Amino acid sequence: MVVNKQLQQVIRGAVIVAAFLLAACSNDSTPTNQSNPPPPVVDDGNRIEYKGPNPTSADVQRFLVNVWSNLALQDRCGACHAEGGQAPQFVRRDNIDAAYSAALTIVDLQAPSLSTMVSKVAAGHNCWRTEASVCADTLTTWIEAWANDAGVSGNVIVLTPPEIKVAGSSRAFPADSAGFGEIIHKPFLIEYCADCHSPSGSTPQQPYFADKNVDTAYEAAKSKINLSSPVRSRMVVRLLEESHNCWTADCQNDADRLEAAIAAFAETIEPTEIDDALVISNALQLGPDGLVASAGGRIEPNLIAKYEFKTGNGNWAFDTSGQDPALDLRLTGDVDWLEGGVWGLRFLGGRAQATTAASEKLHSQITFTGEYSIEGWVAAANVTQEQAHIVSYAGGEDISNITLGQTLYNYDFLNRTTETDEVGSPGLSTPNADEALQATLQHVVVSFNILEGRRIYVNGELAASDDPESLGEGSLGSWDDTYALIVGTESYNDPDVNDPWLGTIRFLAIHNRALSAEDVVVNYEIGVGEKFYMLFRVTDSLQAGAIPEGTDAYVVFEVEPFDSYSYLFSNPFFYILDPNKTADSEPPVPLQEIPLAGMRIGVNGREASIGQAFMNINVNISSANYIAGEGLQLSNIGALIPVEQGKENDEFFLSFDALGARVYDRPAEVAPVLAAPEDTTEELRSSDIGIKTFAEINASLSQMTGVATTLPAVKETYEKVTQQLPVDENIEGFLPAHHMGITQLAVAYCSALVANTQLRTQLFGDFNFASEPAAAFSAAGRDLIVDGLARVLVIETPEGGAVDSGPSRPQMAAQLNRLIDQMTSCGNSCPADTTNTTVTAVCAAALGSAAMLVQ
Amino acid sequence: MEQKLLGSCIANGVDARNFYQVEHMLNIKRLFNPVARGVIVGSLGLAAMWANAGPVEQAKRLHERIAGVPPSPQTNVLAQMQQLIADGDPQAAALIAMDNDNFYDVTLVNWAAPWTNRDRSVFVPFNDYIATVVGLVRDGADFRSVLFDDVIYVGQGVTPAYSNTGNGHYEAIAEQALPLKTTLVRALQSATTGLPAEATAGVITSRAASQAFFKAGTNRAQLRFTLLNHLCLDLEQLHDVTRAPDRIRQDVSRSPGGDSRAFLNGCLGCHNGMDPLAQAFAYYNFNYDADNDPDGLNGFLEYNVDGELDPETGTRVQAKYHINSTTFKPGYVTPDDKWDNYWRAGVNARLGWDTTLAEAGSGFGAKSMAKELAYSEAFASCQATKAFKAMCFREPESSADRTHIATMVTSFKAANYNAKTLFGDAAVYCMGENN
Repeated sequence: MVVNKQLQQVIRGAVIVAAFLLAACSNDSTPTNQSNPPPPVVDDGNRIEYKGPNPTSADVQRFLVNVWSNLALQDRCGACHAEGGQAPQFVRRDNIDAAYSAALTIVDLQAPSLSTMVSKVAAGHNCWRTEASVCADTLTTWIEAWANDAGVSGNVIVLTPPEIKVAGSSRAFPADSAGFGEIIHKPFLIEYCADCHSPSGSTPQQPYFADKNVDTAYEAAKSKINLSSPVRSRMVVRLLEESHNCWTADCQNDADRLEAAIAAFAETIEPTEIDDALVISNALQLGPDGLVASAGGRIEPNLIAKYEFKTGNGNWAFDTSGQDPALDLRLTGDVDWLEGGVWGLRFLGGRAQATTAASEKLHSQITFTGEYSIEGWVAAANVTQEQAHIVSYAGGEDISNITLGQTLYNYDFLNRTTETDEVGSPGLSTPNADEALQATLQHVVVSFNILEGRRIYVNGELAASDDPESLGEGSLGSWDDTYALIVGTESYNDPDVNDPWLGTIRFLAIHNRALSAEDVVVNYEIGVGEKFYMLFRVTDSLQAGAIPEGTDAYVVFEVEPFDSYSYLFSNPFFYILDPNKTADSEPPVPLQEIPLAGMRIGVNGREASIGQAFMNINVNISSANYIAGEGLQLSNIGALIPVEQGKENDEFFLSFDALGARVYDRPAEVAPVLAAPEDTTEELRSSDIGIKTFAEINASLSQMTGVATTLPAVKETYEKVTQQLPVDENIEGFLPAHHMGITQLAVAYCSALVANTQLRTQLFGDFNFASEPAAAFSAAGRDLIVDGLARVLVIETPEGGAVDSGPSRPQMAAQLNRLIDQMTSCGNSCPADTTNTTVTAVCAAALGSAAMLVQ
Repeated sequence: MEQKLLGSCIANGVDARNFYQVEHMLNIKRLFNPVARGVIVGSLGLAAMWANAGPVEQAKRLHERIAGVPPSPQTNVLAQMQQLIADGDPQAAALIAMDNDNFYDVTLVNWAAPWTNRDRSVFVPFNDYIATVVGLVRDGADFRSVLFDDVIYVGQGVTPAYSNTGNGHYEAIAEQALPLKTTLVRALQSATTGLPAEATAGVITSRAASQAFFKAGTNRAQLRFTLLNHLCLDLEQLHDVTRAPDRIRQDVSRSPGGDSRAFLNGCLGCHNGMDPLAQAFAYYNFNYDADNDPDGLNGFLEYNVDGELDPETGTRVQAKYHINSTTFKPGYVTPDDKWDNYWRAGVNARLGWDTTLAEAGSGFGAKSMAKELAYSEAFASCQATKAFKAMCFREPESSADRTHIATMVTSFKAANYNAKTLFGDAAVYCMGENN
């Protein structure tokens, strides 16, 4: 076992290279990127000119341009680390080669942020800005520029085994649900959540943590309860931050009560050591143990402003481009720093704004080149906001040189030129159909140069560009130099303002050259935020002789704070480190087959209940699939693991169902049995009867009259009223509109019936349609009509027996005779068609009634 | 006055705008007050009457529930059914009602129509999905095959003939009101549509379902609506965050609005089970002209056969499976149509998955995945519940109702999944008690 021994292993391989996607390793001394020209040669306290012997190599020249000229000023490092001063004399003015040699001792070009020079300044050593971290980041930017020019940054990763730690104890959910039932389930979940989160609720909604069966509820609730940090329990967060069905008007109080209950429940559980049966790795913490993975390699030779939002507190977001003057942003209104060690700002209606004086830098530097790119990592809070400005170089919402905005699923880009109005209209937007903007973290770049016009890139892909026909029109000559750089809304307190942009910005850079499409891809692939390598040592679980003597085996993850609420674990690979490796020795490989299966990520002493994306891994590692010096990639996907106690405190480990010689016999999952829904109370039960629906009504009327549904007259009426007829059998949903449609259709069928001699005879027998009403509607005639209708309505059987499930024949006869009386009251002056009309009306009244409709 | 109004109305063709006036003048409601008010407005009185129904009333009700129309007085159906009920064999009476054309043309058509579109509307044109459901019920086939068999029902002798690029064949059947009981004939879907036999999956690969659920999007809709329509479960009810999220595609944001909690506690709980199942549809797409035919009325189902590679994915996987790949790059990249059922474990194990299947829990392609669904207890229970709702006009409300549905499932299985037994059992249960 190797403890506290600093080992260094250089891994060159596809796995790492793919992870970083940085520039290829090169020994070519030719700079790969074109830099801004050196500052003007002045020595006025702001800029310094080197007048010593010429640099003897291209790399010394790169050092001179990118680092020395920024640090040699008196108010930075020049006062102490110049010739005759303190060692190392990396800013001596008499000999740049000597300064270069001194600088190499305190600079790490492969991982600029890890340079001794940077860590020294980060610790507060002679920072020339108000925040030490800003000096460190600015210094990193300069060293990265040097490294990028040299093409050496990021293509070599150094893995250093961490200190070996054993995973700690934790509170695990007890098998018995009694405590949960008494403290959380009964007083809270049953009381306030059962209407939805129970299968017998009025609107059943998983998870069923309010199931009346406490065991079932317990299983469902486990993933929503955080025993380590009750306030982070999902069911508390839902109340506290999302006001999700609070049971009083005070969500804060409701959340506090539930949190206290969870804390009380947690207190009843004794912390226990990790189950010995588990096959686990050693433990790691991201902050103390994670190896910082350099984010170098970005293409930014023409950077004029850069914001990584690392500060995490205060009212300023600092420009760390190293290009003076610093274009710092003051936070105003509703703007929050992201939590959980994640770099970025969350805009909730406020803004971050530079001074107009400092912003003049943008005007001078961009109009000088006539081109620019604005690059950001942004996450819109939603896709419903319109004309919301994300970044602008503006004097107000209606006057601007540049605007990057959001309208629904689109990014908008307005660039003021001599051919546009004073806000830059007409703008360029990503196409509606593409829905390029999503409410998730995206890399967006807007670029302008006079030859290519405006371009919008989203996640490395060109999403919109100007019509080639319009290129070459308009320059930046109309820009106003009194505007200010603004992130978020221009007028947060103006009620007439466009939608204030709501979302998160994790990174922002402004370049005074348009990034090429290839540059955009490189910067996109590098990503945003800090990344780490975590080396989980698994040597102790391997069978004897599985790996060479003296080596250690690791499962290595790339880990990054994904947002304020979770970590992203991705691209795990199995690797064997040899602490005694020399430049000439062969990298170690497995000596025996090593089974690895069911890998899970543990947090603070227990396996995370959500997000286990590697639990289905099942691989046998051997010399056949293990690549010496590169390892074996176990997966190319990522898993999100919820933050519990923050980056500095959360302790991780890996567990395995099988690893080397050890196997964990994972208990079979038991599917909880849901409690049967409760019976609907008697008074709320549905009616035992219902009504016919549209097609049933049509078919019934057709059958009752004998008129085919395809007869044009009825078919036309049916098609007209179909959607006016009942769709559902529920009798309580019956409406007057339904009644009107039914009657209309019944009249159509009865009209067709009466017009058809054969059909009407079939139904009404010898009823004399040719007679005057008085004769036709004799008692016998009326019986023929009523009998016919009663039969088809099955008010009586064909044999004449009563069917006691609707109106009786006498009831029906009485009502129909009254109608006949009314309609034939014209005496001897009735129109010629009165008999037919009356039969039609009587037929429609009967067949369009509840006697037909109800079933 | 009333007569004039009605006469005018009839002569001029009734129109909805003036009909209320006619109806009002005729005072039909008043004429039938004892019925209309007693039955429509307040159903309790009539319900009480039903509670003491005799065989004739039960026969009438049974017939109306099953066929949607009362028994015709021109037949002796009512008498036959009445006698069978009186003799204690209501199931046989129900079978007589099922002989009525309207059981197929009305009841079954409207039972299945909502399953064929995203709005779950019953007002959709008759189509091959509906026809296949009707045909399988009519023939007493193993109804589970509706999801996976090489089967389709077409109209015998109906022109235009079946087409992959339009629904005209089925609309002609509806237009002519041809009786489905005698018009529909069973055919091999592969022979009718040209889809490889191994790629057929019952109604899932019907043109109607393809148009509705394989059109644009990501093909997840096909799974979601199959679950909804045939397992009676929407994704919310299947939500389980404890399953492995390793098959969730790249297009799903892991941090909606910048908050990964929304993903971890919401999206993940459905996608972790849905995506590995919907992978079965990776080779299917509904091809249509989005510009000139946005509804896909002339579109057709395409399927990448072995060796047919999508130019964007470089595999048989349709491009839609790789869309929005930058939303979460470490997400899953679909390489083939291998499906896995993660819901066999965890809370959804209660759906009663069949452990005896040849491809139990994992396989390739739509056919075996659909069989996985069709052979679950949830599928059988869902069909019983749907039939119960169709015949009883309500969801199960009491333990008695739920017990009866369990009985229906048992009978369904015993009858080799003949769906007619479901309608018979449900209709008899709700035909009213004998006095």
